[in-house]
Amino acid sequence: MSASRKTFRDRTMIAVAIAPPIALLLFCVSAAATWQAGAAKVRPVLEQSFPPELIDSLVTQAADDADRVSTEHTKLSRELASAAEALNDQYHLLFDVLEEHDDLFENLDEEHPLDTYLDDYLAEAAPLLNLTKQYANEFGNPNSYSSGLISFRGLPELLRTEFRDAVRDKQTDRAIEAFRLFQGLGIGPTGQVSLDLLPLVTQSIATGIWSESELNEIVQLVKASPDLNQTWQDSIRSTTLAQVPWLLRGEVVQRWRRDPTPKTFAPSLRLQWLQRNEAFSRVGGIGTFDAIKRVMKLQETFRRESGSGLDLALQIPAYNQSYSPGQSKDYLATLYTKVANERRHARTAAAVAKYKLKFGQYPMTLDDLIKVNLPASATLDPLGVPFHFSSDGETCELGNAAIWFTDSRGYSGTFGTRDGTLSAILKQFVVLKFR
Amino acid sequence: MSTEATLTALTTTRHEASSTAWFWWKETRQLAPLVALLAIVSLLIIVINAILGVAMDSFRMQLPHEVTMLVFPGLFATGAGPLLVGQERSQRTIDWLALLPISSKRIATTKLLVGMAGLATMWAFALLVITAFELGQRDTSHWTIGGQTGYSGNPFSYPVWISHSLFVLLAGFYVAWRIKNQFYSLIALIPLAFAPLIATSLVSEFANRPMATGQLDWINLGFTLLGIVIVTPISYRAAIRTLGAAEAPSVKPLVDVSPHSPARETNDAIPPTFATHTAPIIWQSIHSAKGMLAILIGMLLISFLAAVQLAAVDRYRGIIGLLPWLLLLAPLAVCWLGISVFKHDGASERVRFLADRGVSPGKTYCALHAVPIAILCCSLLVYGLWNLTIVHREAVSNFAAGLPSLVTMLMIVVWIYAISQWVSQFVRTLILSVILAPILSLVTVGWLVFAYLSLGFPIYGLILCGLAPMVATYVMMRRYMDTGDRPLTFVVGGGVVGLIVLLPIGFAAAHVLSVPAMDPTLRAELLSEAQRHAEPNARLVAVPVTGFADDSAFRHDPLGDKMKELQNYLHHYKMDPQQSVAPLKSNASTEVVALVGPWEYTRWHGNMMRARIQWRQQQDDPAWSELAQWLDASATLLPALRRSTLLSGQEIADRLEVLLIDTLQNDVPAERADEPAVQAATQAIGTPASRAAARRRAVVVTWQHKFQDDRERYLNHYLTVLEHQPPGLVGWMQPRFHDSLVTAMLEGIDAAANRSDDIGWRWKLHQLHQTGDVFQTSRYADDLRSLPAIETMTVDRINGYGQLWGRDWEYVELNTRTQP
Repeated sequence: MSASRKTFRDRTMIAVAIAPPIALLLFCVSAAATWQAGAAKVRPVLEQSFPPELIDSLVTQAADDADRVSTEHTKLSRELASAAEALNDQYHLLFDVLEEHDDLFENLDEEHPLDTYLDDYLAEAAPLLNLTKQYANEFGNPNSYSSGLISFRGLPELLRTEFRDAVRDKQTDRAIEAFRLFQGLGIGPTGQVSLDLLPLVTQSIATGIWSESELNEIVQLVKASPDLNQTWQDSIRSTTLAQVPWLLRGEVVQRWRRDPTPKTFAPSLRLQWLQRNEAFSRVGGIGTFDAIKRVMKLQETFRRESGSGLDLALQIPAYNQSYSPGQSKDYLATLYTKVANERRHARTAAAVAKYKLKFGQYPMTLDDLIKVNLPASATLDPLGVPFHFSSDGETCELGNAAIWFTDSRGYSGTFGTRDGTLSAILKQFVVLKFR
Repeated sequence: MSTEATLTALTTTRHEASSTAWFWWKETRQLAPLVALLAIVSLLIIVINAILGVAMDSFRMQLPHEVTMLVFPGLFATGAGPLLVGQERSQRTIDWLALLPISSKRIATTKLLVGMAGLATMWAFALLVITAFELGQRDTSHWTIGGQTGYSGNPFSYPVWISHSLFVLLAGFYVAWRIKNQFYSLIALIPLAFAPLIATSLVSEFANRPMATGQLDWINLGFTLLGIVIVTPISYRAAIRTLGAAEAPSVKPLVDVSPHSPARETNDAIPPTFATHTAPIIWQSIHSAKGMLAILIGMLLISFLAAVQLAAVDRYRGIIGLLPWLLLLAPLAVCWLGISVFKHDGASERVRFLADRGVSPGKTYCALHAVPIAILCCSLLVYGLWNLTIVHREAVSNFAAGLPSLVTMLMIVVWIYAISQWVSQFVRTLILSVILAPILSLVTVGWLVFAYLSLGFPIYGLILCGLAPMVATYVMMRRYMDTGDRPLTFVVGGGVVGLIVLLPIGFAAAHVLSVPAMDPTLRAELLSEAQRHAEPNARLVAVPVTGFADDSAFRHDPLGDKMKELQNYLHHYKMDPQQSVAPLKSNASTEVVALVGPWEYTRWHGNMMRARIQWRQQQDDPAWSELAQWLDASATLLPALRRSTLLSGQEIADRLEVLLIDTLQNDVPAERADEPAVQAATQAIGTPASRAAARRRAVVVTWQHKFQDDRERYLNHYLTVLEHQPPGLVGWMQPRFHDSLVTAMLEGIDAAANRSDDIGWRWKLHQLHQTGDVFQTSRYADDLRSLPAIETMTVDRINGYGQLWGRDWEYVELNTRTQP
């Protein structure tokens, strides 16, 4: 067995032993190279949407919102918020009851058992309300930039109560002032009832207390509310910005529950997340049912496809890492559609009231509203069908959808039947009874 | 070993009359190592588990004790047949036994009876341990079949397990009598052992209705009993045939070996020639264990195909339900590939042969490993490539979504392989190593994963632990080849075990020790200081912020009439500051300490704000008297809060003081400065020195109580830094972090008292409270601290101690102070 010339058999044997380890090594090396190349790509992609100084800013790097300081956090808004919060805490039983009583605007001439409580509350809240009016332009919504420093709930609740009481007292100037101030808070589309005034405004329109000019102002205020497409994109941008440390370095940005398992995230996974967010932000027509469908379709596609990047092989510990921040967008799209419908409903109600003021009776059909310059497009529910409307001239009814839907258990994602769809988007069928 | 046992037994017991005893004794000695090994390993697992349970109070990895104990009799049943029969057959001692004047019937039955006795012993041992350690749930009996199965209930049915292990034992004897090659017989045993389970799943697959787990349990038992009935006679028959006269070998033509014969080129029986040293060893590795390698590759392949199938479906029922079991073939195959390095048919002869030819140990070592490693690399490569083609999403397949990445898989394969090949060099008997290696691999993988997840063991440590057994076998290679490895191999083996066990513990200990503990003298000083300050006669008085006697007086009823609640209880929620501090005033003679939490303070803060806003707008007497009430009450509350030895009390006091100073500065006009309420409030404002004293007292006392109150609750306090530590070490590190927290806070108190800009203590507190965040944006950094405290402080929670210390408000000179 002296080592002379290598035979073909020698080479085969050695190749059999050596080739697999080398192939595995090559595979791993190319995965590592892909990792490096992918990591270098993240920043340029980010820079397409954000200026570099924003990407590097400390605010983006600070994981905890409470650390962020802003000049918007004026002393005044903190004082107001904390005072209103304390007052509302004292009256929390009243607010519980108010949420249950939606008959407040039904008969303004009759005494309502809550009237005295509303008056008591507002008497105590008067200084706060004065201060709010005084500095109406000086405070913004502190939550739009930062949360955690103070709870932002007191002021919107205060203004809602003021609006309710003003309508009960038929003091339209007070009511419209409250609405104006509320809009000034700049609260984005929200699913929280206590942070929303528009449904109450719409309800109040059916009472017939508003003059034509006031109705016009309401319509103007509704129209001037933030553009939903813009808000949608802003929300996606802020999600992305909040994830900059993760995108650039794979550091998990999550405060409320830390995962004790050490994990790494392949760059291809992070790039994919960015591209998906990009795809979401490209969805147009936010506020329509079509947008929900598009968003859900995108989401379903994303749910069923995964990255096949070579670098995933080097992730620890698994191919599929369960960290995917801010991916559920169908809830947002549904919410925005609800808000858009609330706005159309308010405008239609205002047009009906205006029609009555102008012609002395209610319109017989929604088509008549063209006479008060309401385009037919503003009278459609999320499914593109005109709102439920029935009128005998003396009284009329306006629903927030074309049909009565009863299934109130609808949640985002049940878009099977017409009933289910409407209930999933609007939650509740609201009928305004004009008398 | 069996040869030794047989020979010694022969020399010691010669008398015909005691031949039964002799035979039993011989068989028992053969079986003893297996029993002892399994008992030791199972006990070790239980003990390690118990130690982990005690040591890792907050985070422990639960190994199912009961399963551990139930699995070991099964493993014994697997090994008994091959050990008693297979080993004797492969070493040909069975032929010698057959020549003795003992009937085949007696040989066969004695071996079987010894195996059964062993099994009974194992079961007695397992049940003893289960009872002794109280492993089972005592509220449900395990001695039932088909009952109480399910995830939450009791999944174990002892009769099924016991009868199954008996079946496995009999099947083991059957395969050992039938198949001469020990390894093949073991492989054949695997499907045979699972036969009842397979039959059960077939029934459930082809049954028209879905079946409950309880029913399946009964069917399983039925098949197992049927299996026992079938296997017992055929096993006996196989034994009789094996022990009987062997068939005469058939005549084969002689091989023409003359060098010039044309037959030589085509004859496979003649080894080919090689020009290098390594190539022939590799060739030999493949050719001498062809069958074994083929089976192991087959196992890997089956497991892979099962994985492919599982990744394509999303529900496991019937036959598909068996696929996850097939996945276990892969780690088993990796394990046995490791064993094949030093223990395959004729392995020892081969090593001897190479040693005689003077082949270096290094070269032999590499050549022995070459084939198994090549197979493993191929498998991993296939795994990696396959994963490029599938979708890892729960929506598509849960199985695919949970697949470990290639690098994770590589690490696990390295551990299993390294441990197994070490076992195969360390243990002399094939059957023992075949059974021991999977257990040890499992324990090692479990331990290292635990170390990684909860002890923060670094990745290079994991690699080190994986390579240690490889190094050990390499070091022992020369002695192993010369069969002179015995005493030293224990030392090296001990080293390997020690490394794998101690390295993670060492790392964990180093990590814990990296947080400095407090200097003992300082600790003693602070403790005695805390002792002095802990006043037994101080009275803690809760400050009510509602009109209710206490929180439990009114419970919200979700179904009650809300209108009635509103009428009856609304007025109770109005906050009267004087009423709130009344309990403090009535106890004014004694030292009273106010107990106020963040929630109570939030209400206090907001209501005082309301009074201020009202006063700003209506500059009249009622508005002033309202504000004065708050000032007066705050003046009573503040000193009582400052007396608190709870850190959270001091934090609230800081906030109240910030609020008071802001009120006095901005909302009290000069002409009202003489009013008693204003004077009282001004008097209540502390000095940097008085605050420092109060804070220091609270820090040391709170620290002495381990940051818990008298009911062992952590009061508004959780250190973020703990969340960033390995979960298993949190319990060990917490006291140390508390020490660092106290040290930093004491520095901060001094800095605040001396109005120093020192950044050190703030940096440390930031690290402890806002671990992982950027310092510049933190609550302890200059950016935020330069803003007025009233604008930036959190009111409703205390998120990090000492945020307000040493900021401008502490050094404000109140103009009203100059008044007499």
